[in-house]
Amino acid sequence: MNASLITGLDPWGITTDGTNLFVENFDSGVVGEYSTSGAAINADLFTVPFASYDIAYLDTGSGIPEPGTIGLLGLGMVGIGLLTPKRRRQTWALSIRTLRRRRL
Amino acid sequence: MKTALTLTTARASRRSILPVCCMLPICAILLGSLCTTAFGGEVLLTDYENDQITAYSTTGTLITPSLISVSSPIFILVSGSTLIVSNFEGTIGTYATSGAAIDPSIVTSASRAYFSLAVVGSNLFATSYGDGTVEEFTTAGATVADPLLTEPNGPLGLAVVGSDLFIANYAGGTIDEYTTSGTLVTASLVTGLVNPGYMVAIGSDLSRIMATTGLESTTFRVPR
Repeated sequence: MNASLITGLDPWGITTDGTNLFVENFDSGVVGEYSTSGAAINADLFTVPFASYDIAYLDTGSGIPEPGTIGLLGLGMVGIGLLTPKRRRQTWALSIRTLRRRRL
Repeated sequence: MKTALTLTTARASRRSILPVCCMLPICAILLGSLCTTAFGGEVLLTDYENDQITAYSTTGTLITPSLISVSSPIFILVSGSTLIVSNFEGTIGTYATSGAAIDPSIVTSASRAYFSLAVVGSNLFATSYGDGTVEEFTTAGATVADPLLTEPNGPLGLAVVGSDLFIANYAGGTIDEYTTSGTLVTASLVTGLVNPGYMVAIGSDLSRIMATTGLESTTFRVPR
């Protein structure tokens, strides 16, 4: 038994995302993240303004979009936008070629 | 003739470049989607003072202040796509992960408060700290065994590994092991703890059950 996996806490709720532990401190409201070997990843991940008995991890599979995500999506939309006029020009060029052929 | 040939060559090369140009924005969108899904996960906390379950991101951003509105919540269990919540008023309710109520009172008790919950298959186990018992229900709330077993030293935390239940006795300072049918496997698997509380098991590894203790201010690992 490792009786001091994580010390210095006032823990009540504990949960895992399958890799790391999230421990909630009852009085302070501080939620910390630790490895399963007890190493602190972020001992003060965030603080809740209320006393909580339990904490649970919910795998939503779609978190909050990162700023990079929004940037990449924007880049994609710009790319599509830039390609659209080229197609129009190509259609226009083809029409002129058809007219020239008719004249010939 | 020469001009026409040049134009044809230019058009042909444009055609070959065009699919590559089309791929770039599509790749960017796909990459963006991957970035979004890679960081999925929320941390849910019971806020018994304000009668709600609050959702935060794993980086600490408040997502939904009142995901579920429920009176005096104690414990929350994520079971597949269902959230199961117990409260100080002796009620156990089920909710969708969106927070919508499925059945806010699958179990009601006038004399008990269920401090910890665990699901094994289609059965729900609940510790009743006050009267020193553990009850078994179906996940729909029908009683299977009341009580399943008696733990006179204040059963509080509950963890499941395989087909065994691990029960933390808050007042007795021990962790006992039972089968899900209520048969004692190992009494006092762990002793000498000060107020062992909630537990979490990681996967099916019996050596990776973590528990919190109160007065020692320690989170520890249960041996096997």
